[in-house]
Amino acid sequence: MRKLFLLLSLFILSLNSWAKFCSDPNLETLPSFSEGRMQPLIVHASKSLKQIFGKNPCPSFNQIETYCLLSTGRSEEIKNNSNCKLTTLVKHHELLTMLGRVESEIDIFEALNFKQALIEKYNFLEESKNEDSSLAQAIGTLLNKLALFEQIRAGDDWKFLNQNHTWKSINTSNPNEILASKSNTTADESKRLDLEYNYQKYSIFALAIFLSILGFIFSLLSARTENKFFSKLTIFFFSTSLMAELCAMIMRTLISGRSPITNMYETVMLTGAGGLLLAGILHFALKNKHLLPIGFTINLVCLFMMRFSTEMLDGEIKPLVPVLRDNFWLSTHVTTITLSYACFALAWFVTNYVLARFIFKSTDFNQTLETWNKALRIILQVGVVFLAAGILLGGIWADYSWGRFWGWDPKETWSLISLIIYVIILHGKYANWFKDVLFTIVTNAAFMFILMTWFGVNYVLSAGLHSYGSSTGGTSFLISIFIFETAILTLSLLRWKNLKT
Amino acid sequence: MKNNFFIFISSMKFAISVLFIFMCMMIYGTIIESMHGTLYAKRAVYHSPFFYAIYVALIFSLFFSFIKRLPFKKTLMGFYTVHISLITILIGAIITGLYGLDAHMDLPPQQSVAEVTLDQVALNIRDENTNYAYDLPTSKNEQKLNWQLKLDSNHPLEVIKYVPFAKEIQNWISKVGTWTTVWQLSDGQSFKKINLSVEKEGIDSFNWGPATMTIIPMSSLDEISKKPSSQFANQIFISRDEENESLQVLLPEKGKWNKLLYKSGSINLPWSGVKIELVDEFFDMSPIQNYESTPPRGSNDTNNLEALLVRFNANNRPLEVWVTNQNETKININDKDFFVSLRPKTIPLPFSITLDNFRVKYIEGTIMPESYESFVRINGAPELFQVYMNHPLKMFGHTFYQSSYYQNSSGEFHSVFSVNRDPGRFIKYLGALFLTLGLVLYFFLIYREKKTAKGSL
Repeated sequence: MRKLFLLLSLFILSLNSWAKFCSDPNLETLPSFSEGRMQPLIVHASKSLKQIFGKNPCPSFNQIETYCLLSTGRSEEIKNNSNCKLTTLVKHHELLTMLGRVESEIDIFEALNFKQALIEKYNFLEESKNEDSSLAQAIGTLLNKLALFEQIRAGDDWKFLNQNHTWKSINTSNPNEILASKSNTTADESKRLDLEYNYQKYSIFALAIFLSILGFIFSLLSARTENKFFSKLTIFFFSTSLMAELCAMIMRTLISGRSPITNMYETVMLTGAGGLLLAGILHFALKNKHLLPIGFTINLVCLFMMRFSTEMLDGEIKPLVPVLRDNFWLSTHVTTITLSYACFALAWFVTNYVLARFIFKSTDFNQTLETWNKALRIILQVGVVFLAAGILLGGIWADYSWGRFWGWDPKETWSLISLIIYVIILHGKYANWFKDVLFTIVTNAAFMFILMTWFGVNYVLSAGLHSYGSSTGGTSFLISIFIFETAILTLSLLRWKNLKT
Repeated sequence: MKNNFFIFISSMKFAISVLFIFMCMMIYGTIIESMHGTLYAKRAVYHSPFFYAIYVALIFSLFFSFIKRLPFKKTLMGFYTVHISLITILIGAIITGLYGLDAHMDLPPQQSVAEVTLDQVALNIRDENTNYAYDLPTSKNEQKLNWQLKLDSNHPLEVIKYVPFAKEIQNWISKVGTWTTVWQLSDGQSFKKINLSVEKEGIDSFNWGPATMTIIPMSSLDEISKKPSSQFANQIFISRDEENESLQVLLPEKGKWNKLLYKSGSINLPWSGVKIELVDEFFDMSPIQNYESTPPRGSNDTNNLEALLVRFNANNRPLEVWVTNQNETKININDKDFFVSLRPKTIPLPFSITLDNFRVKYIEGTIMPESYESFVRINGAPELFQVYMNHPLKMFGHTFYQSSYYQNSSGEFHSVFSVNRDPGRFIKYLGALFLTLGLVLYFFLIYREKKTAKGSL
């Protein structure tokens, strides 16, 4: 009888501790295991929720709480909460028909009822080697979500570090042991955890956006008014925003243990910073005060892309495919290529600015145009050197890793196409074929080739060895830029013809 | 006239035109690749004679624009170096393209392998004693060959044509006593048409994913329906019911047989949305396979269909037979059996490699490989060489790279190496070095010129 009472009280006690467990603020920084490395729980939890629901499905709780309630067998609390919507998105029409649904938001518990039928269908499609595999893909994605959801509910998705420094599912343990698990990390691991937690929580890139906006405003004021105070402020914001980005990059490097140059997100990050830095250098070298506002614009565009087009640019720190691991040539190759992108991006923004002015107010524009075209030529020359060097370094890397210097991979081919375009432009400028605004126009158009190399190969062509850096949602981004481009170029050409006659 | 030619070929216009064509070819190549796969793009563009002609035109253009700027001027040092380095790189590329080896090697565990495999395909013919191999052309289009092969003195074989990228098409011939059904299969998303054709009391079947559709005689159908359906997992049997002028279909459903008398409409199979439907029926007609040249669909190269048409005398009557790369074909020439197949061309190595051990390490908690490595022996010697990502094995002028791996049906790991011999490598590296130097020199000279110009002002 006493034993029973003891057990019962223990049970109630443990129930009580599970009840409070999920709202414990220490959960956020607990070590958890995900994608081959230790991560703070907040990173892992938000990633798992995002993968299934696209966001935190329950505004009444924070991400950790939602994840914790699901993981500790208390999904009823979420299910019964009227604010919570445990729905997942299914877009494929045939799959929706299979599930007997019209709208694309599907309750995850309802979808679970179809699991067996989905598996059978998936196996059927896989084995019959259908050419059009979009249905199989859609089913596969949904099944992955369902599997993850079941794993979370079973407490298996959440791994904590036990005293023997091994990873265990939380369903084998009790709240006290889990909450104490941070003390099981080594000093080094603990530092890294805090670093990643801070990286996630205090978004330094948001700070960089803020600094860049101020920098943009003051650089514009300084270019207009020639005020010394404004130009000092510009320099201040120029250096602080670069410092902030450098800081974030260093943090990323320390967290991942590799250089931040392995996916689209990171190349956009580098190009933004590179474009700003380059504009800063040329600002002093050429004494052109309009370059810095343009540099800040590039930086801002890149930062906004990183922040808001998350479908296209995935900021998660993921494990690398073997060929990208510890490789000196890769780092130098990508950095060089990215710097060339930064040069050409700067040139593109400059041409857009110049062409916009040319279209709208072009009385006595020749003097300004001349100065800009000189600057453009230098930017292009620097870009061409970087691009050529980057391609050669890429060749050396490919030779080292794959055994051939050149293999006509789409990314390689397009980088060569871009190089040739800029070489043609520089030769044409030298031969005086592209006079005045024509040079600006062709330089503007040439950036489309860089965009094709940079994004188009991954999103539009999506074949070849370099597609490991790819993700989805980029095609519409490219199309909108192309439309914008066509408009600018048409207007400029019309204006040019007008002025000629 | 000679002078005019020199002016033309050394002109900027010529250079830019060649570069422009070069660029357009490359754009075309990448589009073709994403539509029809890497191999097709290589044959159509990158390894085509026209592409090599562009290289040569570029070399000429670079060379003559260089000659044009002689005699030597110090200020043009950068220009000279850059243009010579580009010529060097292009020559290196041509040498690699013509004399290099770009192959791969499949290493099963514990077996000594002394040959590498190429993209190119060879026609292999064997009888019980001899192997004959003939290299087939590397083009993208259908090739008329008209080869007269004398396999041994009295068994001639004519090779009519080779279709490197083929599609199967069907022609009908009349054949008394055959019954052919045309079925439309649907998996809920896409449709597929197949034929099942039998002579009297014959059997024909089609595998569709896990399901098998089989036409059998009525008597067999009755026998099978008496057995438990669990013995025939995922099998569908169809017979022609002469009395009712319809079909009998036997399909498993929830552990029992479901026997249908079928005339038309669609039959649901036990996978959601998967259906079959009889769309046509022919008597005394039989389909025969034919192959036509077509670009492969999709960027995946693994399932490319290749076909070769051969003609020979069987029982003193000429017979034309298609051979494909899907399986070996047995032909009987004047009462002697030969086995004909299309297989990737192999080249012997001067030594053998044995895969002693293969290891793959996964990223913890995932099935993504973190790294994989092979331990190999050369010529069976006890010394083990470790080959892994970014650490190739260099042996007798060949370089072996760990490129991938796979598991065979019995779960053993095969290691796949890419094998490479590049006689142009040194030249290309030399060119790259010169190019870097030249670009630095070029801008240094411009900068100095500007400085002196400013100084003199």
